[in-house]
Parts: sequence; C-alpha cells; structure tokens
Amino acid sequence: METVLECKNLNKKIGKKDILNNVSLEVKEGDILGFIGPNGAGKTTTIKLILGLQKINSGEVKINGYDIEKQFEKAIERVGTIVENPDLYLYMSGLENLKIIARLYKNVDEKRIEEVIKLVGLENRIKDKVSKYSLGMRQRLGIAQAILHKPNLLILDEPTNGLDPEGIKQLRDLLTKLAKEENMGILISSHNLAELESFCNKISIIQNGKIIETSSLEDAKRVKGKIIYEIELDSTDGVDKIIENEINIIDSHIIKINLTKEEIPEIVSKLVNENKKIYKVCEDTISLEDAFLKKTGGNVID
Amino acid sequence: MINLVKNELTKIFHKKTLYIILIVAIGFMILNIVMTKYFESSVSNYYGQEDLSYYNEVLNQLDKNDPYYKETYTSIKTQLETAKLNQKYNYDTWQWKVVNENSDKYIYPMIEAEGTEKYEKAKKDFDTFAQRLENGDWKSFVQAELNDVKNQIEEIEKQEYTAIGISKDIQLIEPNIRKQVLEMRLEKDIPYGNDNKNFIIEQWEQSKRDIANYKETEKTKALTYEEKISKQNAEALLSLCEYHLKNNLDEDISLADYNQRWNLATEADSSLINVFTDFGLFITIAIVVIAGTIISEEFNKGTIKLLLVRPYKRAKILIAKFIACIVVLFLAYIVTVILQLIMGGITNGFGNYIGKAMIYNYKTNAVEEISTIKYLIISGIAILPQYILIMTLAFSFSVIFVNSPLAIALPLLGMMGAEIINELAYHYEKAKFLRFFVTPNWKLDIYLFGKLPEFEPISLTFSITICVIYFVIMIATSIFIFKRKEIKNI
Repeated sequence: METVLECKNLNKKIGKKDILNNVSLEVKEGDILGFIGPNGAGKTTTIKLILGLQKINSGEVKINGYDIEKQFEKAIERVGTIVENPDLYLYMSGLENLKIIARLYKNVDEKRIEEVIKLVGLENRIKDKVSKYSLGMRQRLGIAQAILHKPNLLILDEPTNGLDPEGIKQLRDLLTKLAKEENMGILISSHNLAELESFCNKISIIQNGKIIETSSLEDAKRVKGKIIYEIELDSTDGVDKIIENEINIIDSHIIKINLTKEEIPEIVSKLVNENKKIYKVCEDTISLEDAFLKKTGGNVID
Repeated sequence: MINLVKNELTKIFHKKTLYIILIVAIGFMILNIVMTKYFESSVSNYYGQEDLSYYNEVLNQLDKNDPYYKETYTSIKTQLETAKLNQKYNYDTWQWKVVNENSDKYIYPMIEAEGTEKYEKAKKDFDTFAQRLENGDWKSFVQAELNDVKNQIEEIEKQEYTAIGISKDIQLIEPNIRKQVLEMRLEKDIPYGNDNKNFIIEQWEQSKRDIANYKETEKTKALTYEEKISKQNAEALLSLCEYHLKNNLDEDISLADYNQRWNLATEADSSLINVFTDFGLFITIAIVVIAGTIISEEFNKGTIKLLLVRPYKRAKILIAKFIACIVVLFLAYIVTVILQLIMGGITNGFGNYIGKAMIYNYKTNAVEEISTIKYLIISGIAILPQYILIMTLAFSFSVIFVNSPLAIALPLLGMMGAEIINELAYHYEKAKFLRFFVTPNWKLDIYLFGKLPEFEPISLTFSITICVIYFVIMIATSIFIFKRKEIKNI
C-alpha cells in the first residue's frame, strides 16, 4: 500500500508558544485515520501545516511523495479538504460554488459535478443560495467540493459538525466506500469520538501539540496491553477479598476487571471456589471515548 | 490562470455591491442632467419687487438735503432707478446689459443734478437714453462706444511724450482691442447680452489683452514658467473663441468645462465629454470597493482556504484577482460612458452626437475637430493611471491589512489628500520633492494635446515613470506579503 500522506516531526511555534511538537502522522491508501484531541491540542494547526496554509518551522510534509512547501502545486493537486468550517461563498448557489471549483481542475466535467451532488444527497437544494443552507447541508456541500476532483487524500476537519444521525451514517458509508473502492486515504479530525469509532481503522491522539498515541482502533482501546472484561455474578459482595487484581464494582451483579486473556480461567476458578455463581464473562465494549479520556487524562486545555 | 480570473469575476458579479453602486450612479446622473436643464431655463428677471421696496425704504430714511448723506442718497437712488429701468427688460436682453453699463453715464448725473439747473439737461439725456433702449437700437450704443474708443486712441497717439513712463504701444493695447470688439459686434451682428456669443466675445477680449500684455513683457524679460502657462492658456482660449466666432455657432452650443479643458461641444456632447470628470467618483468608488474587498473578504469569511488548497501558486491566485479588478475597471469605464450617452441623448437629443468634439492643439496653436469617440478614448486613457494606481492601492491594503473597511477608506481619503499634496508640490518651493510623489503625476490628461504641465521640470516621460515605479512597488509588496501570509485559526 502506497503512503499518501507522511508528516515527519512537525514543529510549529506561534510567538513563543509551541503549538506543535514533533508531530508525525502517516496515512496510507485506503486508511481512515481518526485524528483525536481535545480543543486546542493542535489538530487544526496540524491540518493547516499539511495543506500549506501555514509555514512549517521544522519537519516536513509529503503528499504523494511531493513536499508541500517545495512542490506545492503537485503536492496539493490530489488533496481534497474541509478546514475548520465548510466556508463556501454564501452569495452563490451550491451548484455555482461547485462549478467555480471544478474550473480549477482539469478532470472535472458537468457529469462529475452531478455525480458528486447525488453522492452527497443535495440534488433538491443545489440551486439554492448557500446562505439559505443549514449547517448540515453546508457540510455536505463542503464534502462535495472536497471530493469533486477525485483526490487520493481527503482531509476533513470536524466533518460531523452539524450533521444529523442520518447524515452521519451517510457520511460514514460514503467515506468507507471511498476508502475501499477508490483507495482514498482519509484523515478525519473530530472531537465526536463515538462517531469516529465507526469510521476509522486507525487513530492518532494529540494532546498539547504532541502525538501521544498512534495505533489501530483495537489497540487504542487497550490499556497497557490488557483488555477489560465484564463479569456478571449473583452477588458482588466480598469479591474484592477474593481477587487481588484491581477491580471495578459496577453494581451488585457486575464487576469490571483489567486482564490478559490467560488470567481469565484463574479468576473464574477463584470465584467458583468461593461459591459465586457466574452467569457471564465477556470482553467489555469500551468506547473510544473512555479510552481517549483515560489516555489524555480528561479534556484539559493549557 | 484564465480560469482563476473567470472565477474571480463570477464571484464579483454574484455580489450585490457593484449593482447597488451602479444604481446610485444612474440616479445621480439623472439628477445631474435634470438639474442642469432646470437651472439653465429658470433664469428670469434679475431684480424683483423686493429689491425695489428695499431701495425705497432706505431712501425714505435718508435726508437728501443733508450734505453728509448726499452721496449715499445719490448712489442708492441711482440703483433704484437702474433697477426700475431693468425691470422693463429681461435678464437676457441686450438692454439689461446696456442699462447696467451706462447707469453711471445717464442715471447718476440725473440724480446728482436734482434740484439744480443742470437737472433739465440730465433728465433729457436720460429720456433719450430710455427712448433708445425702447426703440431696440443697440447698434447706436455700439457706435457711441466705438466713437469714444476712437477718440481715446487719437488722444494717445497725439501725445508727445508719455508722462507716466508707459509707452504708447502699451497704452494703446486696451483701446485697440476694445475697438476690434465693437467693430466685430457691428460686423457680425452681435448685440449686447448675456448669451454665449457675448460670453465668447468677452473671453476673446480678455485673452487678446492678456496675450498682448505677455508679448510686451517678453520684450524686456523672459517669461516665468507660470506666465508661460498663462500665456498658453490665453492663446488656447483665443483660438477657441475665434473658431466659435468664425463658424458663427448658434446659441445652443455651450462651452463645456471651459476654464479647464477648452472643449467646444454641443450640450449632449459636453455631457459626454465631461463624463470622466463628473462621474469619476463612481468609477473610483466601484473599483476601490471591489479591489479593497477582493482579498480581505475571503480572509474574513474563511473562504480563502477554499482557494489556497488548489493547485495554483499563491502569486498566481493574487495576480488573477488583480486582473479581475482591471476587468471591472474597464467595465466601469464602459458602463459610465454608455449610461451618460443614453442620459445625454434623452435630455438633449441623440442627434447631437453626430457633432464632433473640438480640441485645442497647443502645439500647432489651432482648434481641431476630432470625433467624440476618439476624444473619449484619448481622455479615458490619459486618466487611466490614476484609476489603476488608486485601485492597486486599495488592493495592496486589502492584502496587507486584511481589513476591508480600512482598504476602502484609506485610498478614498488618499484621493482627497492628493489635492492638498498636489497643491503643495506645484506651488510651494520647499515641498518640491513631492513632485516625485505619485499623485501629482497620475493624471496624464494635463499633458493632452501638447499642453504645458503645471510645473516646470516634469514631463510626460517623468510622470509615466513615476506611475510605473509606484505600481510595481505596490504589486511586489502585495505578492511578497500574500505569499507569506499564515492562515490563522478562526
């Protein structure tokens, strides 16, 4: 698989403040990378450096092998993006907005514009002025302009903002399809973690300008290599005396415990020996959000 | 690149700004034409009943037998009588003019002689005068004036020596010119009055006198540069007047913008010929508003990101935007001319456009006819640098400050300030360095048709060079800054 985006040790200072500190990212063809971090962590700044909208202090960004600062035109040619908000020309219709963008690329014709409009589901309102659109519709139009020229790298900054659950589902389906069928590499930043979970196959977590973790989605849910298991019993009285491991008593029937797979039989036999009735042992469905909060230690801006 | 420009134009023409400015401009054009027409036709009697009652009131308060007030009384009574006589005639008749010019000669003596034995004779003179006015015999007045002038000339020529040190030649200048004017009146059948022909005769006399004076001065010393300009202007005026008199142009011909640009044209033509001076403000505002927002608005609304992530270098994007502004400038030019063409045609008749524009060629010292279209193109090009530079200024500010109101306000204020700077540059020795500033140089129409520029060491080449230098500096700065601009987080 080809690497479409490669960021190496990006550093950015604004005034005396370090905004980014050695940020490295990699997106391969067909990847959907979730870029997560609390507000002010440096997500948007990173994206702006990648797109050449701000100067890089040190480090490099390569898109399809081209350096963004030295070979800007070539590097940016196959990138589609929404940065911050879907800022479109409000005084024009959705169609006119797409048309002027289409003019800037060689390979986009009328047919492609229609195709994209259908893809994002804006057929009925495309001739209305964008100023009359809801935020969700602007988001869809923003996605339309981003994928219009068939990029192989899609960079979306908070694309789920303003979308209703139906819209989010459609976006998820669309992005999954693009990644699979067109082999697009996709970078999504978001703070809506629950949604990212269903989108991505990889995540990078950024905090205070530093990447604190990059891994596959599965790995991200593990805490120190262990998986959390949920055990349902007849009663949780006295279980903390039976098991030495750190346990989390949820209520009178359920406990959660952090284990490797090999430790499970041992724990089960300990409980059975103390006459506890076990109804269920299963892997806990930890949400990405929980994992995220655990790793970043809460949502703190400094 | 062409696509970038097209996009910029699409954006500009989707905004309401230009259309609103256009509508306001049309409104003002209509108003301007209507006002001109209205005021031209609304001149009526100069003296109203209020004036007469005012004079009467003042006279009643004065004791005519008190020697201390004698003179005041006489002069006010003279004014009253003049006004009474004037009431009989309209402002635009020859009588009106004659009454005013001769009130000293006929009315004042009569009032002064009141109660003395001279009164009879003075009254008789006045009555004859009034009778002559009534008879409509203006030629007798011209003849009388002519006789006076001839006597004056004879007297000067008879002089053995000049008492006050002024040579006979100089003394003779004025009476001789006066004589020519009076003869011309008789010959061309031009009665006294306030119409265009009289205006032209007056201008002719004035310029003839000025030129003769400058020629006399030249005999003893070289003319200063300012005197040279005045002389050149006088020559131009003289030529135009002579052209007018020779072709015996009718009254519906007006002298358009006479003191500045020496155009002779029909009314419709003149409204068109002055289009860039009268409506330059609208062109300026339109282009400043467009150029002042073209960058900053995109930054403020965040849409600049949409543009900068396309496969074009920033310099190209900026230049495309600038080209779009130039296109708007040309459209503004064309729209203004067309609008004025229609307005002028509606109010003055489209037939007037067949006529040609007259220009004065300073080099050959002659009046030439050129087609109105050609004139418009020439004068349009001559003032183009000013518009381009003011637009570039707005454009640069838009890039540098990323603040639309500032980028619009500063160039417009600059336009105002330019007047003061130019005034200093032209007339104040210590501010001579200001001649290297752009504003005294950006209006090339001052050089049109061989005219001497306002101050000495400046030439057309100099002005063009200055304009180009300022232009390059502004564009280069804009590109430099735009290329390094960080797109801040909103």
